[in-house]
Amino acid sequence: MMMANDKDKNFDELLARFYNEADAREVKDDIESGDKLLASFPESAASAELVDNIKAGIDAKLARRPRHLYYKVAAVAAVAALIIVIINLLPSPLPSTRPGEPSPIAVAANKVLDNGGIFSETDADLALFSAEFEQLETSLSTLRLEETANGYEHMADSVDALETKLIEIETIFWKG
Amino acid sequence: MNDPENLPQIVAGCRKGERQSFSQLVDIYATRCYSYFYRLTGDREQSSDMVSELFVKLLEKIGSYRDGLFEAWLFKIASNIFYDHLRHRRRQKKLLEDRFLQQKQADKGKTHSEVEMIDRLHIQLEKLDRETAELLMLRFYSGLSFKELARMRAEPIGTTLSKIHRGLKKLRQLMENDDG
Repeated sequence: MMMANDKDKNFDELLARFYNEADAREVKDDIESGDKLLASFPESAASAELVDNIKAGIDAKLARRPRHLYYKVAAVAAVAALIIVIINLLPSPLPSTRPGEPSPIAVAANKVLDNGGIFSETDADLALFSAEFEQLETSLSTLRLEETANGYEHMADSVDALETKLIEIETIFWKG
Repeated sequence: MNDPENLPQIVAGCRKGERQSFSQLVDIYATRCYSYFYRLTGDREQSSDMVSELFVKLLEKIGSYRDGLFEAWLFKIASNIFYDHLRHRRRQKKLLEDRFLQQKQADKGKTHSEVEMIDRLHIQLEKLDRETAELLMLRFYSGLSFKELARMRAEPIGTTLSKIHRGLKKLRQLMENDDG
């Protein structure tokens, strides 16, 4: 077992900041004696069984993780693909979109599909997908408002279907 | 293979979800963390549960580990687990006091070598306040410097140094009185 003060390379300088020379010497002796006392007791080692159980538990959790992640990623990809299909079926561009520019929803959906590390296994990616869910929801709300304000009733069915699907996907996402 | 000098690579592997990397981390830290919990609790079963919980939390939180000393991050989780255990234990305080007194009575007729088997160090650590005992064990098993400990505990380095000095001095006196 490494002595606890092995990392205190500037121990003497540290002591000099807080104590005079005599006190610093005494404090140093006390701490070094205490460290030796602690080191004199035999270590309580983790049993081989405990170590094996810990590793088995980690293996089991890691084995479950990719299935859940793939399911969630598939759900996100599905809704993104649905959005792109609906956008492509719309008869005219959204009034808030400049000609030639993709709509906010299409940008959000493509961003999800294009997102690198889609099969990554880190929690950071799950957080990213969650954030993009929210962005898709916001874009959907924007689309709804524009539809109502500008009389694009013919988009209503498509938007309704998209909204229903999004809610369904989100429910499955959080259940998984 | 489990050389702590390869620790950055091992931790990077864990962040990618590599089983072998987690296995290596367990090999490196399981005994140190178990000893840390055992010295503070004196209970092998509880210590096993706590170290198991520690590695579960490590797996869950490894994505949040970015920079800085890995031991500081790991033992911060361990310290939180210990204090959670302490809060739970306070609810059973009466039972534990009875057990300590029973143990003390049982120790009286024994020789020193027999008592050591019951772990004298834990018995004397129990006589310190919980924060001091935990700090001493944290420093010993984590191997962190005074500066790193102070940063972890969000307190001035002089405060950490003073607490450790007083704690070690008191512990040595308790052990000497127990010998005498």
